[in-house]
Amino acid sequence: MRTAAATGPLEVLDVLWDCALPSGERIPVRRDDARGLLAERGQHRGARLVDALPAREDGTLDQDAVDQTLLAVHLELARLSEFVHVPQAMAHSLAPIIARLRDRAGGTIRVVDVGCGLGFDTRVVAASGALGADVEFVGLDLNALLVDAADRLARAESIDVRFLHGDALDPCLAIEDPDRTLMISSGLLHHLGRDALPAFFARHAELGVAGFAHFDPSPGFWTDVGAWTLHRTRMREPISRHDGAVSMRRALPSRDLLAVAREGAGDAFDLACDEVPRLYPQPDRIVRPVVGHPR
Amino acid sequence: MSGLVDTVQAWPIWGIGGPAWAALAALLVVVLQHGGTAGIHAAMGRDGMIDHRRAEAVGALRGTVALAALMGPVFAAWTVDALSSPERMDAYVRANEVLIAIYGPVTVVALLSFVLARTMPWQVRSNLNSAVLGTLELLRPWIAAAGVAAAAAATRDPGVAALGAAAVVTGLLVGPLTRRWWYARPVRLADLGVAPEAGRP
Repeated sequence: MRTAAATGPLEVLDVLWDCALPSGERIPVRRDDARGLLAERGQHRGARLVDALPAREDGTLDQDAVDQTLLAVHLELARLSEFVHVPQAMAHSLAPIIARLRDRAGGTIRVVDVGCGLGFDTRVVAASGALGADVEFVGLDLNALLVDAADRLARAESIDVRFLHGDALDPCLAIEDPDRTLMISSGLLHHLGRDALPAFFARHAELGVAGFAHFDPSPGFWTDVGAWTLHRTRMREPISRHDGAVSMRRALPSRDLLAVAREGAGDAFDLACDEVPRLYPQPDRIVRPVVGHPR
Repeated sequence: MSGLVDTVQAWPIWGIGGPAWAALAALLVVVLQHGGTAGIHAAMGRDGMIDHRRAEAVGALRGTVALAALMGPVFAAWTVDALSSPERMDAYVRANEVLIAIYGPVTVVALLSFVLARTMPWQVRSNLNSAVLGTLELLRPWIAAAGVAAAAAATRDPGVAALGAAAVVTGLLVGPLTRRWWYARPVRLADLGVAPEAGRP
């Protein structure tokens, strides 16, 4: 619901859940309000998916049902991330930045995954040890349910990642030494929306973090084809399939993403966001990063 | 007892020859592989773990059990019809050859992609997963139907066509059935591990 003011299409998960800021305390959502946000954008299939969820007598969505939906969709998203190897792509993008930080000074480097959801990508990278023993991982998400779930999953497999309840737009509680902190995310940028992105990147510069790699779908014909195929074959929840298709429509092209990053972060970072070829499919880049290298 | 032995010895299957046995065995592998992978696909995205071999093993087992339950009656009908006379057996042997000519290469491509995906750099794995395995998964019902249509056309036998259609329909139901098995109960927080407070030293 925090994205309710955003223009353009919405994902069903965006309208099922809301919280107060800065506390992060959950706010009950009225089913009519949630379906209305989708219906007024002409997203009638999404509105029907909201209708199918149970509501209480006061008209608010049943929180247990919403929690189950949130978990089910995020569990499928985690598996999709594994399928297209987003964690490996993350490690690949972060490795050169981390190498430069190591060259400057010793000590622990922290990677903060903002809007981490179930923290799947971070758990995979942490468990692989691909970035080195001197790198620690912290996941941050505004949804306390997902933070709880991520924490349980990390413990279940003894993976050394800490998960915190907090806002991706104000991640300072996860940052102790900005000079040795890198910010990452996967699939967060299109949720924030174009209007909020300059402030998001500006916050990186204000906090003085060492760099970032934020991954988001690269829109285009082949991405649409690939996303449709993967969502049809790998996802079962109707909301997963709906939101997967919508997320492709919300994602920004590389040049636009680079422009909003530059607008927000200014000259604080060397920015890069590679154009993905449009003439042929390149599934390993269906989700690609906008990277901020330290100057 | 000797009557039963005589009956078994009279089954026309003993005279079909090595290539026909090979086609039959290959078809059995294809069918079992379908059951196992359908079960594994159904298990995906339900446990949240980064190491989900246990979920996949359970998924493969469920897929195989569902396959046996769904296709068992079709197999029984095939057995009765095929063993009834050498002519009926010949029709099924011909159908098997056509089926394996279509399903065999697809299965080999899928298995090769799977093996390559396990051994190559992540960029190649990602591309194989999406472009090859994802596409084959999407086309699975159409490939299955194409095989049976080709077998029916090659044999011009209504019995082969009917049993083939039944096999495709029941085989394709393995995925939805095992998915329902996994999704019958929603995943709750407690399924994902111990609560953070309880787990803290």
